[in-house]
Amino acid sequence: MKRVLVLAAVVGMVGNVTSALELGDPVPATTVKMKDVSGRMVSIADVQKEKGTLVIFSCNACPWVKAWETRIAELGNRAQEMGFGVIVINPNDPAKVAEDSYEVMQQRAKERGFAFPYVVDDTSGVAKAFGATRTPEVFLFDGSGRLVYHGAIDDNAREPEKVEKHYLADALRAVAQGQKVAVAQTKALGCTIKWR
Amino acid sequence: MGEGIAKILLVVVCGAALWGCGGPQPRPSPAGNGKDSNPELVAVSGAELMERVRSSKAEVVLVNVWATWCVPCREEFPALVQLGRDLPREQLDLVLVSADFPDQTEAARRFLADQGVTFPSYVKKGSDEEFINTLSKRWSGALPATLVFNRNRELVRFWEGGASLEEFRAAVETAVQSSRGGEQG
Repeated sequence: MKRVLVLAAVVGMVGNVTSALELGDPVPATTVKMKDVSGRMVSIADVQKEKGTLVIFSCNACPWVKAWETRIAELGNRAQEMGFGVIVINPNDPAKVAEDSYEVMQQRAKERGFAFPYVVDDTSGVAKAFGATRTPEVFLFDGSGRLVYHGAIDDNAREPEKVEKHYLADALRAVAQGQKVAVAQTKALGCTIKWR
Repeated sequence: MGEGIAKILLVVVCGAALWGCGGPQPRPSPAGNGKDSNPELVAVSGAELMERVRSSKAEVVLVNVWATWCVPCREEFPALVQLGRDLPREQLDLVLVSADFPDQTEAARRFLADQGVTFPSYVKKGSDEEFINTLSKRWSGALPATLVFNRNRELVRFWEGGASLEEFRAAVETAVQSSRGGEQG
């Protein structure tokens, strides 16, 4: 049984790699309602804004998320102030990593001051629809709902003071000004999504 | 891991984590009880790692990128060690690359020792993006990641996420068949 599950996970991961959203693709899975840390049921459609929408797949346990978490809060809050819709989605199965539980999400959102919904993707289906593979992973859509940036938050998870390329901040600024995002796809190491 | 296993590991894959058989040769750690050994970790960029892959004399090179904090990485690690123990060094060159943060290098070394790895392995250095894209454009950056190269050093199998010993074996067999003109996976 375990072998079957592992094989399914491997096949699933490869499938997700090949089916990742491409630049220009529309926002998928917009109507799926997900429970946020306040108990509200929120969909991506509920937060979408005319200026654009920022979707970040994240979690509580991943050391890369922890390294970027303060910046996720700052950039998410700033994006919201700029008029973007913002939602952070945890697709991980807490049965695999206990720290990814709803209760820890609530604590973390409070500690970090998330002013945006932090929600549970309780089937991992939204992450699959995006072709997400890891946490943290950023998807930024413009006002017409088309993907204009996909990838990392910036180029240095562990040492914020040494960041040279502020990928997400630059992309938000470009979209807000109606400009093309100069660096539209980036990569960084991250934790595999713990699929449900 | 016992002393016997550690010695077999050294015999099977000691060359695997060196700079091929002709390149720079990091000093191998002494064989012995894994828990007492101090496995060598060589810092590599993506370009340096691919040079390491190309210069290997083995029929198949399997690169696994892992980290101490990565649950599926830790779960699959014993299978990787077993794979390296089961196959002759001429057939399989097992290249283990830690993606731990620089201040976690000692934790990585301890994990390797606990797993009975006594041969030198690697730790990623430099830009994530350079490292990821140099190894494979198909890699999103998620860990663990496994890349299997055939004798022509073509990437014949790649996946993200954990795998079992049977799956690792099958991937190596695919690469062997590919090297010999068979079907590519």
